[in-house]
Amino acid sequence: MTVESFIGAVEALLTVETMIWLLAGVIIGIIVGGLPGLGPPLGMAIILPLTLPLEAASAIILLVGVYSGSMYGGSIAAILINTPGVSSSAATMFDGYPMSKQGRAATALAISATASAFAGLFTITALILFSPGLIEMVLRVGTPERFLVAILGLAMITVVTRGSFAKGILAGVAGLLVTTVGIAPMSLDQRYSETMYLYDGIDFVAVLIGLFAIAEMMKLAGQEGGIAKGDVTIDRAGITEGIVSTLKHPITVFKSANIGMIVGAIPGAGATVSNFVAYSEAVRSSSDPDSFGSGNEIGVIASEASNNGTVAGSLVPAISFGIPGSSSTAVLIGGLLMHDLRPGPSMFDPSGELTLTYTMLLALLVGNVVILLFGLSMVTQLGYLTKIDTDYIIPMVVVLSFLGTYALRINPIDILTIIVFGVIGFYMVRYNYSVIAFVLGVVLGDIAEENLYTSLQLSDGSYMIFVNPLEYGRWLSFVLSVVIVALVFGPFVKRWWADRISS
Amino acid sequence: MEQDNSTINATRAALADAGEKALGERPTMEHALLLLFLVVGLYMYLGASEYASAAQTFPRLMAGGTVVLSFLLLTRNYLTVAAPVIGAALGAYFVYGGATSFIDDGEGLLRLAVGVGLLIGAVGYRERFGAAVESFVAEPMQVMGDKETSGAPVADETELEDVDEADADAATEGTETDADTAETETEAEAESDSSAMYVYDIDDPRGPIVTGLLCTGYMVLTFLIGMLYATPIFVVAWVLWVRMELIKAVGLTVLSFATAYLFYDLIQDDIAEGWLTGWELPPPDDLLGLSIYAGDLLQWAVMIV
Repeated sequence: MTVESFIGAVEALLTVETMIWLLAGVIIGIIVGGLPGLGPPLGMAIILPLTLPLEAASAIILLVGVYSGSMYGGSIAAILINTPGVSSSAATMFDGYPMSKQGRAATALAISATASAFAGLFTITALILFSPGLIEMVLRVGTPERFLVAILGLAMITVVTRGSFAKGILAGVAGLLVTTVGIAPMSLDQRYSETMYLYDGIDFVAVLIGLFAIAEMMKLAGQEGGIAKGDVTIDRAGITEGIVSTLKHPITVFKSANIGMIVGAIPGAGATVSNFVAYSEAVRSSSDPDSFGSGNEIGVIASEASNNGTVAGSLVPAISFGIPGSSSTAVLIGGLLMHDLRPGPSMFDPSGELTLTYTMLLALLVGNVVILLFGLSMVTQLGYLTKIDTDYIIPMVVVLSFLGTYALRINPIDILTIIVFGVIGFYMVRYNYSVIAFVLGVVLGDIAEENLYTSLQLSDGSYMIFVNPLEYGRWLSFVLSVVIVALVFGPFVKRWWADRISS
Repeated sequence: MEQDNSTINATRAALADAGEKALGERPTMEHALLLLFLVVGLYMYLGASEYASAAQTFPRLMAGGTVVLSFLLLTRNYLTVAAPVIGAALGAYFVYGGATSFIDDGEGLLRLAVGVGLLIGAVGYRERFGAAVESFVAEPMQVMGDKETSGAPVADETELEDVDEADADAATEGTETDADTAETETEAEAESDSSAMYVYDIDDPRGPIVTGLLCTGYMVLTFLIGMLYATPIFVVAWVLWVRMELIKAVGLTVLSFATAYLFYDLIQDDIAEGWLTGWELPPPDDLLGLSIYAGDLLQWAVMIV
């Protein structure tokens, strides 16, 4: 059955329509990623409402194309103007920009395209090969466990995200609270619906657009710089050198892609973390660590291979349990839900959506080839992206956000939602509250509530179903509960223990 | 006008002083955010009691969590006192709820145990409980005791470099007015006195405010005349604010209108209607149809002139 689904996915992928959406997605992604200040979640959030008229498969392919393309696109601004188009390319700046200053911008951009594509190809292939095992695992997880996995994801995000623990949890809980407006998933009660415009609840697409697009534009409006001041010379001759350089360092590509995939699978860690981890590992394992930071090609390879490797990793918790590994996968989950696709077992069920899951993975595989071809052929033109002033970007992003959101349902509340959550998101980011945790809450709310409700029905209203395996026989629930408690209280116990020993 | 500004500044300073006394730190927008979470959480917690029991469990849990956490963050400078009180109150609430449930139907043992634990911790080990909650709420740097950096932004090197460059530019250009500088300084001062940490710096604090206001104006216009025509008006307001060159401004406005028109034509024609007024201004194709009257209009205009 799994093989049949895979063959079905290959057939679905090899249609002209799918290829057009994939190509469009990757190119839009590269442009969005290349524009300083924008990034994958913002690009995907703006595209999200526009996918409504599309079929589910086309919509998801378009979104993953944008995701994958913008991961590469982020390196353009990092290399050319020392400002990462996306935070996941921050480490690319360390060596990419010095290379650019040495007149080797084309080499750095070619390395970025090649390393990104190879890492993407490798990690997506690995994910496809390991998918049968993953399918087995996901299908074994029951309702109480799914609720606990959602809570685990939230706990992990708050642990991984730098900052106050209380702030992380508050963000997640507040996000979950947002989803309680509207019809209750199981009892069909109308909750907090003071006006008929709230009967269907607060639209998560509007929340995502507010948090990612409006908040980001408010931030961008207050910041200066980020635009190329002078002409950057991009000499086409350096392209071959870049490709050869990447091919000469297969171990770095392989290692960094793996780091990206593993870190990407941890909710909340995302490409920003994997980017620095892979770069640090490249420095650590180098025989000439002092050369890093002054234009070492291996630095660019490590950074770019890791951030594209993250894409495959972050898809694992996203499609298995609906837990986004990053902001971008949160928007992707939003896209799945918008097209009536539930992340979880059905995405791996051969009689369910397994064909679509494979189509998505195969599309990513082809998307990396597109990145390689497009990235290399357009190297000399990519510099133009860094010269577009934010004064043009901001109004157009706002306009697209408003139009996309309003056109979805023609509900005035949605417009209010993007402004309110835009302002909330702006201050949340500014004061170090995890927006990813908030988004996770918003995306997961209904799923978490349904699973909690069903679990409590199974146990006649007792919360002991999560912690008492002797009575209910749910050992996985017990293990997950223990892991959650360890994650939440572990750091405090560790600190208390260290204080005790030192005193 | 000058007097008005000084009155506003004096009122602002008095409010900030009062806020500082109450919060133990200079009030910032973070406190407004937390207050919003607290009020909304309280409203939703209390409101949940109106629904069937199945529909109130989840919102109550989340709203309760929101209220407790935002309160803890708001009172972060008084946690050694506030945390044991909150802990004891929560413990008592859990014990009551758990015990009632246990007596009624034999359930609620977990809640009872958690409540007893909280009560013992909050009452019996007040100081340790307060310190533990303090480290739970504080930023990692504050926990590590790095007081010099605790109020500093957690910006990465690039952001700091960008800010430095921007500062240098601002210094050479000298475009900031005194009032704006004072405002920026007040905000910076408030943030440096706060236990809050902020992730990035804002070079021009007016940028986000104006963007937010223009977005609000865009929304109001959308509700009045529909989004089709509200879109170019919003963009015109924006290009005026950033003082864009005329040709570029016209180009951007036309592009935005074309985008809105594509949405109107291809995706959803209801975006042209004002929700509040029900007005629907004639679409561009209809307006083009009116061009047959252009000659007559021109004649009238010539006669009037």
